Amino acid sequence: MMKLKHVRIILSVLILGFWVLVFLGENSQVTKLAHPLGQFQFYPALQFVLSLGKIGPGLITILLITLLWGRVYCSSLCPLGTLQDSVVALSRKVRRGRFKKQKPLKSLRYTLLALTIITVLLGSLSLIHLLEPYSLFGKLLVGVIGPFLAQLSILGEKIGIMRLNPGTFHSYSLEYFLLFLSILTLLAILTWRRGRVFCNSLCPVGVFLGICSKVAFYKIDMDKEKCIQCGKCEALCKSGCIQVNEKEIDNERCVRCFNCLDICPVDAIHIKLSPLKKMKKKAAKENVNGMQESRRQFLVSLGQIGILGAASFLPLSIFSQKQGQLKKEWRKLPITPPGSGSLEHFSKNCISCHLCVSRCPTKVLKPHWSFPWQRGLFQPQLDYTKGYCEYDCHVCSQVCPTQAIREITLEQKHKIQLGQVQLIRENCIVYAKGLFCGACAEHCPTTAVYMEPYQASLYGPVTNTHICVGCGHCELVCPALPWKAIYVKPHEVHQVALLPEKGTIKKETGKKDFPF
Amino acid sequence: MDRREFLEKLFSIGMATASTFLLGRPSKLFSAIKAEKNTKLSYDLVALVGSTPEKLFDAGIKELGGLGQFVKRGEIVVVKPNIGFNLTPDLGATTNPLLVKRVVEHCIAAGARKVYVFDHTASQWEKSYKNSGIEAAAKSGGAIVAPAHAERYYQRVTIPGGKVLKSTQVHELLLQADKVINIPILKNHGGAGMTCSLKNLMGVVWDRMFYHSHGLHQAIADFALFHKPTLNIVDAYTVMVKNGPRGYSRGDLVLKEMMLISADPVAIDTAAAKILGADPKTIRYLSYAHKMKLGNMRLEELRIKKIVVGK
Repeated sequence: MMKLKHVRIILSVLILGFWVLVFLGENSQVTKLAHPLGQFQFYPALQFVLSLGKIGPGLITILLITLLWGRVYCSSLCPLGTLQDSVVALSRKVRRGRFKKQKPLKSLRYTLLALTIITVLLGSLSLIHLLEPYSLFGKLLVGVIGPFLAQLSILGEKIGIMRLNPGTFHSYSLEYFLLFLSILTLLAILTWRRGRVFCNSLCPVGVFLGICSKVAFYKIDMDKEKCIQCGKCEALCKSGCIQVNEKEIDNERCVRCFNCLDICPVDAIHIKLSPLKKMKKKAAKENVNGMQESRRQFLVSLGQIGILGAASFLPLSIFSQKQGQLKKEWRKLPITPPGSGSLEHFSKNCISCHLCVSRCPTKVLKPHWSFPWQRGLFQPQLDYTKGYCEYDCHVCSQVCPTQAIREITLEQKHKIQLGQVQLIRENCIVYAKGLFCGACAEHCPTTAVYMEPYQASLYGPVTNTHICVGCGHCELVCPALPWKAIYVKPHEVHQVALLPEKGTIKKETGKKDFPF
Repeated sequence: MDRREFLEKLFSIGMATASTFLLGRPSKLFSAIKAEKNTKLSYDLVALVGSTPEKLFDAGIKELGGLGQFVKRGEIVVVKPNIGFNLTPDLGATTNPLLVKRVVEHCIAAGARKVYVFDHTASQWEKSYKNSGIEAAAKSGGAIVAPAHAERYYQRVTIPGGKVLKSTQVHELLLQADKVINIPILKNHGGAGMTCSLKNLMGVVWDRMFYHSHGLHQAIADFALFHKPTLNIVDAYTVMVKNGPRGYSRGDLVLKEMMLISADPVAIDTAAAKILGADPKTIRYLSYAHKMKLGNMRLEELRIKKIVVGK
């Protein structure tokens, strides 16, 4: 009979492995599973419900599991949790240290959760984007691990030992890489020294599921008569939720790793079915304890959270959108991915997990801080300074776990107009300098930009905005300096692009002579 | 010496060797590569009509004595098709993949040690390589399909005599190649009038925008000063006559079932312009290249073989 902790380890490693492949790999079979399996990640599932108004099976399953067995999600399903567990395992081997029991920090936990919910209701997703584990996992993987692997594979390519396509990995600007690297380092240090402290103080999902855990049917219980207070369980507990002095296990903070079940030399720790009456009594006891916590600590935590909350609304200018050769007044609004429908829908529902960013083949989707149009931190936008939106691609809509980018077919995608092409003749090197160009028309997938005779044998660009899809290829390749001669003006609500008629090929196979 | 000393020495030698690879693989001197004029050939230009591209090539190269006239045993060959766009081959924007495969096969049969296929595409490179069918076809023919989408694959060269293009970054494989077989597909071009052999070479440089901003036609001619391919094979099976070089639908194409083969890029492009229905004098880079003595626009001075191939 396999031990529970081994089941947990196998399941969590499989799920972590899957999500690493999804965020960093390029296998299309794996990508297809990202959407359905994303339903079993708590916040994406919740956001899916809020976004589309449909009850997903994932959310119900997670809540059911938690109400039955407690925070099984935190040790088995959450990829950030499993990542932390690997740091914990390494830390134990290297440090041979003990974990100590930790203060419940109820005021910090509950206040932060409340603040997160309040800011979401008020319209800012910043705290979610910073603290929600799935989204944080995605950002760290795509923002730090991805570029690191890209550099490794470029090195490997130079030495000739591998051809692990480095083009797959996204490369951010230096600012974003450093920011996410610092977050990853901070989290790693916290986990190394204190185990799952993130999960029990900062993570809104963890705190919420912890509250649900209070009324769970099955709990981890310590038999007070058997316990000899040897302290082995407390030293092992990565949540710091076992208090050997009081012979108590705080089920609200327990992440159900099940490591403690077989460490006890007198076999005092078991999973027990917990009837309601006992729970009410326990809850009353805990409440008294909570209120006895010093008011000073409460105020301190409130102060810290207040600063964090206020900061979530502040613009950070180093991350503000660089527009390259575009004058700022030409494009004030961000361009959101095809399938999002509108800036409103996208920024309300995007959880900034960066899965679309990692999957985008042309690297046009990039995280941006563009306060105040976006409601959170580093939601992706289309950035035409280094990329364009490939006409025959809809990968972002296929992977988005919250359907902030609604899934669309290629036929539907061809009829979406993200923005309209704008030509500035004064900047165009054909009209202004009499040079031969045509780079814009050369790349336009719909002939919305095409060439017409201008002077002598010169041809100049002309636009047909009705068929423009706003892909930005023209803007990307325009060589005009210092300002572009052609760019895409975004639509706040995406419009419909008309499809030009497709013709049939003409046959001239009867002729057998050459015109020379 | 003792074991420790031995290991230390081994390690430092190993690191030194490895670090030389980090600086770049050793390659040939980056001087201008000029193809020798092959007067042993019976014709300056072979024009064919009436069959599929692979069959036309088989018939045409035979007239010139086989690809062995151009590619010698043990040589490194670059085959340069047009893989420019993320479009399927039936849309006529990219070189026919079966033609690419056939050319690769001929190179290998002639004894080439390695055949590379690449293009600095206009659209996303992996999709273009895949959906044009050229990656799979070239691989099945025995070629090594190489990436060309990142600056690190290119090396800076100078072009002595270049009027607007005095220096540019060229793909390292072109610089390492002994022979280059250029396989453009004939299309009209909104900016340059026509895209064929000379314009297809824009796919071996990194900074294409430089051409557009400094004088497209002269830059195209200047690059031909730096590099003339060993052989040009113009795929004129379907010719894009409007909305080129990308095209929108098959309505932009005319089925002509033609092909041109020549070592002279100016001559072949002049003949191609006439097939396209354009006056070669309006395609400025041809006149510039002709004046720079990179080839001959006067087709009446050339030995042309015309072949009608039965199906």
